[in-house]
Amino acid sequence: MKIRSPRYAREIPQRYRYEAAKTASGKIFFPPRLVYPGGETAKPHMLAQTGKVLTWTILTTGPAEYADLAPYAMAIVELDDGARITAMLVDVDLANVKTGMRVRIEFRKIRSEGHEGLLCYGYKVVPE
Amino acid sequence: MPEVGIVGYGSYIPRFRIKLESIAAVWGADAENYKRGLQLYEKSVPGPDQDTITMSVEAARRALKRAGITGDKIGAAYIGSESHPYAVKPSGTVVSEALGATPECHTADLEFACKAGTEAMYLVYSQVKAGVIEYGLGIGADTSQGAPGDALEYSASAGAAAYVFGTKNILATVDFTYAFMTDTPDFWRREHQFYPQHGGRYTGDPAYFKHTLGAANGILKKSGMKPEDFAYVVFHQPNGKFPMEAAKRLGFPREKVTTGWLTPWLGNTYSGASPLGLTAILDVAKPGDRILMVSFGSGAGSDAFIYTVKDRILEVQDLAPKTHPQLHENKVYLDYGRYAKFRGKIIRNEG
Amino acid sequence: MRDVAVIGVGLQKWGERWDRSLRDLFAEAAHNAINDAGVDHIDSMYIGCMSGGLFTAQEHLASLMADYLGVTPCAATRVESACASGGLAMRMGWMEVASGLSDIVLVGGVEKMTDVTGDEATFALATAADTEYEGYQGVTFPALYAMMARAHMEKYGTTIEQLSHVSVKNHANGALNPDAQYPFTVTLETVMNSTMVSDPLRLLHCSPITDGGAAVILVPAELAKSKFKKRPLVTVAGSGHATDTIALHSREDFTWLKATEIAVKKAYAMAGVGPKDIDFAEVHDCFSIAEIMVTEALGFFDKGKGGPAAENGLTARTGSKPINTSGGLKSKGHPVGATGVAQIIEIARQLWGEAGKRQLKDPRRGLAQNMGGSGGSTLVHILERKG
Repeated sequence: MKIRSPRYAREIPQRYRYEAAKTASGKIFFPPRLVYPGGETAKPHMLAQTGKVLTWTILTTGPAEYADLAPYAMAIVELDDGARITAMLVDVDLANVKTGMRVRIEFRKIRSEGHEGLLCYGYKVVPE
Repeated sequence: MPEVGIVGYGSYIPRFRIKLESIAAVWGADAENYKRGLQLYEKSVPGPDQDTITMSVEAARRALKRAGITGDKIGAAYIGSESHPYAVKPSGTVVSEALGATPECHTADLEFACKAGTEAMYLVYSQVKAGVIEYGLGIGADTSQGAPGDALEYSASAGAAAYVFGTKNILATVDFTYAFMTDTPDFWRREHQFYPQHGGRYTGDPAYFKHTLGAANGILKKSGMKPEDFAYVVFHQPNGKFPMEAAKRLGFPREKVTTGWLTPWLGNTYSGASPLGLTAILDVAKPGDRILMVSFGSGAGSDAFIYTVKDRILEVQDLAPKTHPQLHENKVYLDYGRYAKFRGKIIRNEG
Repeated sequence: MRDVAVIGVGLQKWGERWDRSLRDLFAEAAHNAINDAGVDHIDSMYIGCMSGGLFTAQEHLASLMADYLGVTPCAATRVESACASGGLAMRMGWMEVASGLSDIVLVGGVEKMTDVTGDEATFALATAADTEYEGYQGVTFPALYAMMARAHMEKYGTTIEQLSHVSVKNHANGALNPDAQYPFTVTLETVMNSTMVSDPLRLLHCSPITDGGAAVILVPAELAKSKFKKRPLVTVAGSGHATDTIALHSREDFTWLKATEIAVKKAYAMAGVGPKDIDFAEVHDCFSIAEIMVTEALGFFDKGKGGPAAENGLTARTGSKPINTSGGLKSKGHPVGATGVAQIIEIARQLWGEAGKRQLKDPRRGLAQNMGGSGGSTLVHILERKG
């Protein structure tokens, strides 16, 4: 299913600028939400740009739009502010991917919707 | 009018490389001949997830770090490239949005072959000087391609350099600017064509040298300066040979060129070429150093700038990744097959 | 709430059924269940299906299936909870009978996955994850479970051999199941050397793409005792349902299936039993690591001990806690919406003594655990034989 403009544009503050929210109890939500658990409210928070890999895998085949990148590493990263993101880990020798390795966020092209559709950008992580 | 200058600078070079030999082997060419003739050994290759926009964002973030300002202070952002990802929809809107410069920000994409980057720098410099914006961002970035088997395939590479101009916290003043431009059809690309056309040897004296020397001599005359007054000079560098020849003809010794001379290992980053060379110089420059920069863009024209480095340079050099480490460290070499796959040179089905 | 009995079951041979459409698969399984139960009508029906739309461009399954089963104007409800759609249909059907609203309810599930290309099927399945913050970033389902596997392996020392033993065992069981997609055994070497899909998960650690339907008939226990006596009385002793975060990265502990823990606690409480009282179970082995993690969350084994349990044969058909005697998702197949209902079928057949070559010796209580996505939703049902 091609990504169309409204669905893409709505996530831009998160995908380009990492805009998140932090509740009074200190929990970070990325993306921010309309409703938070336990009736809490939240304030804007910018995600930390660096963190460590909590777990990872290397995909041999990816979804069609990502197929040219295969094999590629995916990781769940805990950023230095405690927030967690799922991101592709690039610019790395796949043999060197390890739990605990330090990474930083980098702006990359995530996918193209065919030859004529939108170019979709977002965040990946690279070794720090 | 107040002094205007560079307040922050940043560079981004992708990790992938391909050696000249790998390209020559596929096309049955003499690698040693090309290496000698072009003074070029290898070039950078963008990954499938990198383009002019992604590299511009990273270079600009580094420039903002050195400038010590947040993106919302940027009043205008221009990106010069001949490989903008969209034909219609500016790279500038994505980059400005990513930096937090929107919504109060001017942008429009620029193209002038390899000098679109210095055009971007010139535009924001002028707007700051005129007092219509406080800070401006000028970026030169490209992921340009040469046709398979063509001479340009050996050099067309990828990289980005970004400059913040302003009147406060200047790390290098802009003392003089000069433009030299004619209608010279040395290299072009028609709409809907994938690869450019070029005039072979016509791209030399009638194009590169005429305009580079024209702009250099013009700014030297305008400023009353001579080669001895400069610590560094950086020219557009489509190969390793041309900038050295330009320096020779103008009377600049080789040592003043080598710091900004990146092409033998980087390739020609087109709109990023002289801007990236300048970042390498700024990485090591000392207060008081004077720098001459002369770009060249086919079609054709050259922009010249004279900069004087200020004390603040020493506070900012280490605030973001420097250019030489990006160029020489953590490289990943590709074979021609992977390079062709990354660069979209392989015929696929549509959709 | 009334006690609810399972009195009839129906499905068909699962696999790449080029000859059967979405509506055919459901109608066939439902018709088989109705005949098997011996009911002459149904009051209501539930259809578990993850995505008729993305796989076959067909929604409004309530109307379609009631029509093609020939039971309009019967009430019909399509439910969706990704891979737990079948288990959710079971819970909804059980509630409708338990509440007294209806007496004869058909609970069915179906998925038709081979009318699209492999890439399109992968995309449809990926919609069970967080589309914007997981799918967009480049994950597939094997990748999500691979990350759970890696975390489990690094925390508890679970090995790839232990994961592979799960596949070997499930194929050993599935080889005895005539309806299974892959009714053949596999060796440990074959599993360990199969193509890498997402490190560390290989092809034979992953459940397949399957077409299939499954259905059961539920009636109040009192009605079963008076009118449907040909089999031992098998009733729903407990039902539990819980959700967890959509994204794996939002979970507190990647090695723990919290929704399963919470759902099973509710089911155990309702049934008045604990893990030791469960004789056998059908669990959601979408990937081998899932079976290991589920057996821990169900309380069958301590945290981190699911791998050794599989390796040491505790979960084999002849072991102390047989898991997936049907062959599991791995060998039986995984037509997403049907899986949860097929689990109920296997449990019922085992309790009735109708499990053929897979028959366990005198089981009394079985548990079905069905989960969606990377564990974002879970349904647990406990069935008991009363006689």
